[in-house]
Amino acid sequence: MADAKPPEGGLITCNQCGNQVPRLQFCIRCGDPLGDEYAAEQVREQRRRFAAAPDERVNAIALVSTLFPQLPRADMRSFRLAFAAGVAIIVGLALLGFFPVALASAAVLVPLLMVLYLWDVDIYEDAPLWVIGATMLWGVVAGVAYGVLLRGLPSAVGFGRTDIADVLITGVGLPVLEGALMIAGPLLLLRWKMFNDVLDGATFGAASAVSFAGTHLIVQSLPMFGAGLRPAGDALPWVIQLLSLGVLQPVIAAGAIGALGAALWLRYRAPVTDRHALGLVGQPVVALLGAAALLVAAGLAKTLLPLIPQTLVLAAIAVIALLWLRRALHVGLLQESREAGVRGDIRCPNCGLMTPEHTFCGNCGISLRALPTSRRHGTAADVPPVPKPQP
Amino acid sequence: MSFPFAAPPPAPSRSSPVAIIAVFVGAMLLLAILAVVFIVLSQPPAPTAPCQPGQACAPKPSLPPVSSGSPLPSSGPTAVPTAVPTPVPPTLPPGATATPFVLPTATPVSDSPAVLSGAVWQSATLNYSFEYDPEWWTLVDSSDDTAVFSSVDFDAQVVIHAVTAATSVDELIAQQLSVVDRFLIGRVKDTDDYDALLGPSIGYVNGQGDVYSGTLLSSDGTPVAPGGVTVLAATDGRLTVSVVVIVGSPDAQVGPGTHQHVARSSADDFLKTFDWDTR
Repeated sequence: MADAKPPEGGLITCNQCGNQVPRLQFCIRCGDPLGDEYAAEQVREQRRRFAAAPDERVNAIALVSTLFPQLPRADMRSFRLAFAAGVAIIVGLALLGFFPVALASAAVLVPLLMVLYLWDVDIYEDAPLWVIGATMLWGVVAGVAYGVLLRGLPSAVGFGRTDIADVLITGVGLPVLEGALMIAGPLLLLRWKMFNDVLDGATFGAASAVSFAGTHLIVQSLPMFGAGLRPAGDALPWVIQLLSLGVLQPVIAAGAIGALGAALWLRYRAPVTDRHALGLVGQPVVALLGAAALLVAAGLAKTLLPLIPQTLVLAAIAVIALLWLRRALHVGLLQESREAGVRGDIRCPNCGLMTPEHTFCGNCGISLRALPTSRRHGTAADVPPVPKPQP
Repeated sequence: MSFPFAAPPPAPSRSSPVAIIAVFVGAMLLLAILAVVFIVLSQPPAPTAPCQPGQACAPKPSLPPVSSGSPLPSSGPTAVPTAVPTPVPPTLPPGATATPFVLPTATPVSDSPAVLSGAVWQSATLNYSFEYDPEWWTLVDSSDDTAVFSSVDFDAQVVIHAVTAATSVDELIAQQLSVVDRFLIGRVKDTDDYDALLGPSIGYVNGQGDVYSGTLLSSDGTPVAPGGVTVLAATDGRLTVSVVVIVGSPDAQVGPGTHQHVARSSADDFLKTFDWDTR
């Protein structure tokens, strides 16, 4: 086995004498070489890495690799920059007082990234176009209907007084309805056997959720567009509210509904025989309750809290939703990998090196299922080779 | 030394990084431009001034011109009295004696019901009341210290809230504004002369107040429409009362005025009929 360079600083437990010793080449107590200990440490570290992006931890808070798990590593940076540019555009417009334009930009930020993602990775190249667009289209149609419904609802009657009926409707009933509408579209695709990966369910759920969130925001805000380009208002609260509407709330929706989609696909579509190994994240009932809990928590925060505390709570819920979706994807990818046999060699679309065709690339560790189907089955000619890393 | 699983460099992307960012930013800007076009096209036309600039502006006479009406009652010089009138001694019937002075009589008490211009809302514990027109306003929420009315015809609400005078006018206004900030984002003072609050008073007790602009939020925090809020408060030493008028799309044209003006005019009934003490 290869030698492992000891990381500097800190302590490591020597396998020979069991003592905590400085991280050097040899144990200072018994003289045993510490190479095995470092190698085992690295393996443990590898196991903590996210199957869809092996250079990140499973429990990392990473927006792009979680919402867009099938992106090759080379494109992730571009998407991060694009996302940052989108946020900068929204903040800039809000600071200049162009609130309605900033609002429209916030509504399309994450949905546009999702469209760009689907176009860039061309995930379902061999699927009919209407199937690919169906989930986003469903999100748009359901978002319009939901937005119209909300505009027709009477406004809250209590001025500064918490009315329990209002809270139940706005904080509980509407978020549950929202969740039901967002997952209804992807559920229609559950019967297609060609979409049998956990990533399919997660992608359909997230795509439906973000298009729903963006559309109902625009429909609900339509009267704002009659207020002129620069309606009166203080810019700072607007910036906070727009970041909540354009980033946090779509992320919560995508995380909750994406994780629910992943659980449904894991349970009913993915070729996994040992379903107990999926744990709680693979149980549709648990996922359903979890998604509802996240959406209701967000709804209650929006109903009951002032702007700043509300935004902080929504940020915390967004983090939980992202981590849950990430964990569902990771567990699903690992479990699916245990069901398949080894086929021939392919060139990994992520790193460009040849690897036996199974679930993970033997060179870079990325889940090959986390790559577009067309590229997954590509030949050596499809992807330009890259130089092998030098030892 | 190296690990066998050290991550190799990423394969070249199918799309260039610059292309991805350019497509995204281009699409964002394109949608922003579309939004600008939509907003410009959705803007209502600027209200036309009732008077020509630079000319005297007065309301048109509501009566027909004098020349077309009946003759004036008197067109001649005003009669001037020529002599100072002299007092006339009272004439008494024979045998009657003159009363040296008349005792002042008590103010007559009317047993007829009070004249009401609408329905009465009264607080049983704080003992204040006001009237409102049920054809214009619907009572949607009520407690002993607060009444909330929604306009029947407009997107407007009036909130009347009373506390004991231990709370000052400034404190009550600050409390009400903190509630307003829950549903009005980006609140700033409305400095438009047209919207100015002139002589704020409640029940003919002078008070303080201001007008604010912002954007109304729905109960789930979505900005839904521009909003105007008028907050005024006054105290009589026993109670401190605030009146908040919330108007959606305040600058929308309604007849010759704006939505905010019409709603505020309609809400004037609350202020004028406010009775500070009904005990």
